[in-house]
Amino acid sequence: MDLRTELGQPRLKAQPSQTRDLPKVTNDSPSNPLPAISEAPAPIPGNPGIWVGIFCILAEFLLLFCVYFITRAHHLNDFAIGPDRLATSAGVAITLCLLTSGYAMVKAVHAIRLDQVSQALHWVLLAILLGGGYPLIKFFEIQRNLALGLDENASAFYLAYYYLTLNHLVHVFWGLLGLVWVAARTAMKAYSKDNHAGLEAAALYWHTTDIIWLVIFPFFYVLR
Amino acid sequence: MKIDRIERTWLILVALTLLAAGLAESKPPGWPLALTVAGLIGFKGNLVIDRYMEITSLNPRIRNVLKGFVILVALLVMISQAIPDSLRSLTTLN
Repeated sequence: MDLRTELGQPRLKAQPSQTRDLPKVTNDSPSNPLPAISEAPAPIPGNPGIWVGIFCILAEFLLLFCVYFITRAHHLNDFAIGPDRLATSAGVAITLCLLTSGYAMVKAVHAIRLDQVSQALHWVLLAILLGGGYPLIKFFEIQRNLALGLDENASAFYLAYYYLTLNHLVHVFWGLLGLVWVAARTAMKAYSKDNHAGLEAAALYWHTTDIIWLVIFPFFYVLR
Repeated sequence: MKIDRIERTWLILVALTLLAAGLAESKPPGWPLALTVAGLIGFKGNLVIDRYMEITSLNPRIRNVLKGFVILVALLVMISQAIPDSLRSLTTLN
C-alpha cells in the first residue's frame, strides 16, 4: 500500500488543473519519514466520482447493445424494414443538437481555464439550450410514431428502439440536470482557472451521452 | 475567419452525421453499409474522446477504456453482420 494513503494523505488529486503543473514529490528531507516518491499518479480528468458513473453507463449500454444485436439476429426482417418508417430527420436533428451542445461544453471548459467566468457561463447555458432540444424533438418524434401506429408492439425493432432511445433519454436528463447545476455554480463564481473540476466533470458526462448517441443513431436510423 | 481545432472537429462530426443520413436514405446493401457504420462509430467516437473530452495522454487507463468501448461496439456491428445465424442459434433457448 502507498505509504501516503496509510498516513491518511490522499493518493489522487481530483483536479487535473491543480496537478498538471505540480513538481514531482521528493520526500528526501531528513526530518520527513516518508520514502522518496519519484512519480505522481496519472491525473484524473474531472473528478474520480464522475468516472465511476461514466464506466457504469458504458457497461450498461454495452449490455443493451448486445441485446440489440441478439434481437436483430432473431428478427432480421423487422430490423431491415424498421428504419424506413422512422423519421431520419429527427435522428439527425437530435445528433446535431447533442454534438453542438457538446461543442459548447468544450468551449465552456476552455473559457474557465482562462478564468473567463462569464464566457463559460454563456457556453454552459447554450449547451443546456441545445441539449434541451433533444427531449423536445424526441417528444414530437414519438407523437409522430404513435400516430403511424409505431408503438412498442409494432415489431421487435420498435421495441428495441423505444427501450434504447428512452433509456438514453433518461441519461440525457441526468446530464441536463448536471449542466443546470454547474451553470448555477458558475453564475455564483464557484469555478475559476484553478478550481473547475465540477464543470469539467459535468462536461465529461455530457460527452459520454454524445458517444452513446453516436452509436444509437446508426443502429436505428441507418443500419439495415 | 480562423477555424480552430474544436470548430474543425465539430464540422467534421456534423459532416459525418449528414453522410450517415444520406446512407440511411440511399439504403446500400448489407456489408458495405455495416462496414461504413462501423467505421463511422469508430471514427466519430474517437474524435469525441480525443478532441471533446481531451483524453489523449493525460490518463492512458481511462483513454483505453473509452476507446475500447467504441472499438468493441464497431466490431460487434461487423460480427453481427458476419454471423447472424450463429448468433441466433447461440442465443436460442431450447
